[in-house]
Amino acid sequence: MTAAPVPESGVSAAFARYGPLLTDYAARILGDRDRAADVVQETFLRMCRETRAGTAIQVPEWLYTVCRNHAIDIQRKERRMIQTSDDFVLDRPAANGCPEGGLVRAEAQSALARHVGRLSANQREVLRLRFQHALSYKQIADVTGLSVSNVGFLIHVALKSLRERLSESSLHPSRA
Amino acid sequence: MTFLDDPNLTAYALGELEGGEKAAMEARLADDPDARRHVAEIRVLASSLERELRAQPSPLTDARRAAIDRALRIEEDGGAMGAWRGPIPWRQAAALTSVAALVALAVGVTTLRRQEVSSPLERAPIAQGSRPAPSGLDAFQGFTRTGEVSSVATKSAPPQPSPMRAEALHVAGSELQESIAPQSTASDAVRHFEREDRHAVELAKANEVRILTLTAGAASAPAAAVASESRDLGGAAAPLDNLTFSLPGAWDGRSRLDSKPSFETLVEVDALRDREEAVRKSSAAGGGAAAFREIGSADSFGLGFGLGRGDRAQSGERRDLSDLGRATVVYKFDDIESALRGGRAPSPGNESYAPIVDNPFVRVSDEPLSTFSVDVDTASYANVRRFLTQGQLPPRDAVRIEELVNSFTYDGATPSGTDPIGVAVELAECPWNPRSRLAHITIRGRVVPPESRKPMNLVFLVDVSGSMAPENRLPLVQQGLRLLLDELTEDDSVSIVTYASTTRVVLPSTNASDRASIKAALDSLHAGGSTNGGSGIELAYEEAARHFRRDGVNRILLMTDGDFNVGVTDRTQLQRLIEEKAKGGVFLSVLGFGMGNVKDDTMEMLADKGNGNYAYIDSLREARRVLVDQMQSTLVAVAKDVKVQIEFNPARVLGYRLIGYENRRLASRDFHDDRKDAGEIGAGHCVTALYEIVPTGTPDAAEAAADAGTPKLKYRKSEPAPPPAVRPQVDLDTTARELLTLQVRYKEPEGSSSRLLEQVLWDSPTPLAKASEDFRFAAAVASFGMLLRGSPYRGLSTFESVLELAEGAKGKDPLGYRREFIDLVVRARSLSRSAAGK
Repeated sequence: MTAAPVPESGVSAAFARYGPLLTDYAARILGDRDRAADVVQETFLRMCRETRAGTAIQVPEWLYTVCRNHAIDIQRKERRMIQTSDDFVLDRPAANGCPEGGLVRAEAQSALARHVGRLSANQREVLRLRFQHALSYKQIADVTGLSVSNVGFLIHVALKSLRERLSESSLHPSRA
Repeated sequence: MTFLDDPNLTAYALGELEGGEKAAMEARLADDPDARRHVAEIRVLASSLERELRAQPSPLTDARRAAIDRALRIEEDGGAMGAWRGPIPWRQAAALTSVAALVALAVGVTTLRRQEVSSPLERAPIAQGSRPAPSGLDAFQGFTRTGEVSSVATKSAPPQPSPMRAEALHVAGSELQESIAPQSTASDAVRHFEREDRHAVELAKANEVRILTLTAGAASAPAAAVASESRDLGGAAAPLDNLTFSLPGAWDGRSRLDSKPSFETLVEVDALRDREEAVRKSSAAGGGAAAFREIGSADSFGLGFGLGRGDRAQSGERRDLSDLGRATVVYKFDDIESALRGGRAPSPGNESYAPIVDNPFVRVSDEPLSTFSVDVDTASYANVRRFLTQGQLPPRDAVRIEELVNSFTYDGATPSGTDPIGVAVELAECPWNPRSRLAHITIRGRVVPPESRKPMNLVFLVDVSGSMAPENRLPLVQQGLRLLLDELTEDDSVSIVTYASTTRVVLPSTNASDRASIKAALDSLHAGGSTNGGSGIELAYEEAARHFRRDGVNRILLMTDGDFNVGVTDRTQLQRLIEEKAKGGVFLSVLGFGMGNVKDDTMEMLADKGNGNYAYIDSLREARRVLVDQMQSTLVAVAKDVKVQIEFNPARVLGYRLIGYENRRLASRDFHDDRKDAGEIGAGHCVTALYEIVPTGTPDAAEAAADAGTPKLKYRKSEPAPPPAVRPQVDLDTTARELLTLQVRYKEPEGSSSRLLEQVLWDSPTPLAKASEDFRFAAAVASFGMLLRGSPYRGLSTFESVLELAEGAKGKDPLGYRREFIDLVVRARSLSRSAAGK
């Protein structure tokens, strides 16, 4: 699996391509869409500055890594980690009642999404990086700092767990 | 591991393998239709996931997107655009990799097989507050101590938060302490340390801990002794300016070595909570030498520092290392395990749990007395329940077995006569180890009939900072307090003090019959502001003093999400204040709310010192349980400073193990020392403790003890014998048949001198099936706790065996708590299955 093709030019193009994905990623770490947007903005601004300074930037790894670190720093500083399953995080309507509130509600609750929400935090993150953000094992390893084999292991275990739960819930639909 | 369980198969299915690996995999698949089918299934699942996860609408509103676009254009126009080139040599990645390598090596040589690195998802150091990020670990020069030399000398990276959360243990403690005697030569000391290291390694293996041995070498002149003895570490010694230890200091002089000036300041271990204290002590005592904190304090860790010769060195001083300097630090790496076990989460958010090392088996010949303080906190169970219901296995240090067991009610013994507490012991076969017995001790507090309930003077000290906003925090506090209010009468008074950026007396001490005012005050609470509390606790004590009831219960109920900043920021000062007030009769209970900010050890300490208890409230049901059902016990103590001491008969008992209560152990002499604080027992409350006992007389008793993983405690000196109980030695026969003598000391709530209760137990090989329901259920809970902790003493415990035992012992279970437990076990079972990939 390869990363998306590198856009021809411009930070803005990168933003168009990766902005929403990164925001989703950051929001799941921070539990807050607004702050996630701030983080993403900061990430791309930094990309501007670094590019201008001549730093070589590997897209998309660089973006995800910077975004992730930034989000985790904020999370630590503000001490506001909401440790919940995925559904909760983005299901909550934004405080001012704006339309962002509908983010995942429509999806809500396919069995698969629910089961993903019940995986461990590590597994969830790695799974999403793979299947939502289309990063390779190696890229995921770079972004999260895990080893490649650890990433492979987490994905393996996560998929296994999902398969088990899906088959269980098809046998016992009420328990899904 | 079968082929289907191989993560590489999954990797292949997802297109991650290339070249040779891919070809090899395809060759294997050629002959294996099952595996090929499996690959197809994985691919189907993968595409479902892709569809599912990518289908979500954008989290960015158009407005926001436009704003960012604008910002970027402005920024871009500010300079020339460069093109992307190759990968960025990212420093942090490099540092992480080298640390990872170090860890991987350490891991590879000790007990683990896989060389994975811990998840850096959790970057926060364990203890929050003013502590700097753990930088020292990055500059370790370390190697493993199982005889092999494999090490990595890492460059001293700039201080970065280490991805490993190192929690140091106090295992080494007093076992190692005795061995630090003045040594005549450097090499003696080294040999000495090698012995110790082996011992530490054994202990470590038993508790699944990794050991890193560090050498402290001077930047300027690496000591020859160090280099040769420590089998230097593949290259240039890492400079040590960024390695600083806080020496706990020679805390009682026994462990001081005479050593020549010889080390620089050492490794800074972030986990040492009383670091400032330790540094102070260390400078005061002249620092230097090997020093260990005593066992029994959860915050301490064993730090062995061998110095050949030399004298004191102050922390912060730089000296030439001319003799050996070596430190043995015993670490427990939760993150590695979490990475390895997949489903087990590192402590999320800012939760900090004091590390616990399971009590090992003790040989009666080494130590016939076991002493501990009674503990009635139940927070750990609520916490564990929270993790499990969220689909995660709890971090092992969040699992305190004695708290799990004590979260359930047992009948126990009725207090007799005027005694405020009743004591009972039941003995039967041990479910997870057929060669040992389990002793179930219960201490029950007298029930206080409502009419004779003492008047209460309560202060609700409520955290109303911004972080308390969510549904399960302040709103739950309000609901819980309303429930409690309904139970109070005109004999009681209530006050509400809040703290956030400022502190306020929202409701001065008011008679509980004035429900309207109290409810209005409760309703007026709202969350906002930072937790920058003025003098929340102090003000609360003032209010409590205003309507102090000499004949009643005076208590502050601190309700918080653990974000601790109540003005008396220095922890020891806070501790002292609370202790002082508790002596004056105003107790403090701590109730934790919400998730992710629970600073478990801080809160436990506060409740401890305040002679109160600590509970964790995660739902209205739990609020009702703690504040209403158990109100009597939460708020009314019938006995305080309750201590238990058991003397085992060496003729009958080979070894024993106290399950849980790691934080509560006392020195034998403390049992008789009335100045020593201990736990309290509330009205109607029952406290339970479990001992696993290996009796003599069974043909393979010795083997049983060996199997139980008894470490050789040859260095432990037994405590000086307490004043012997006067027991006429007349009837030798009877005494010889006794298994153990149980003694309980307690004080009346207003008393200052203790009373003693005593009970003798004879051996009786009762089969498990004949034991009482309470016994069997308690055993099931303990067994579950050991599984969650991965305790090396869990024996034959499995989730299935726990379920079987618990189902059979559920009994009437009127409030459904036992049924709830059974459900949790089922969850834990499936979580651990998926984690282990079985």
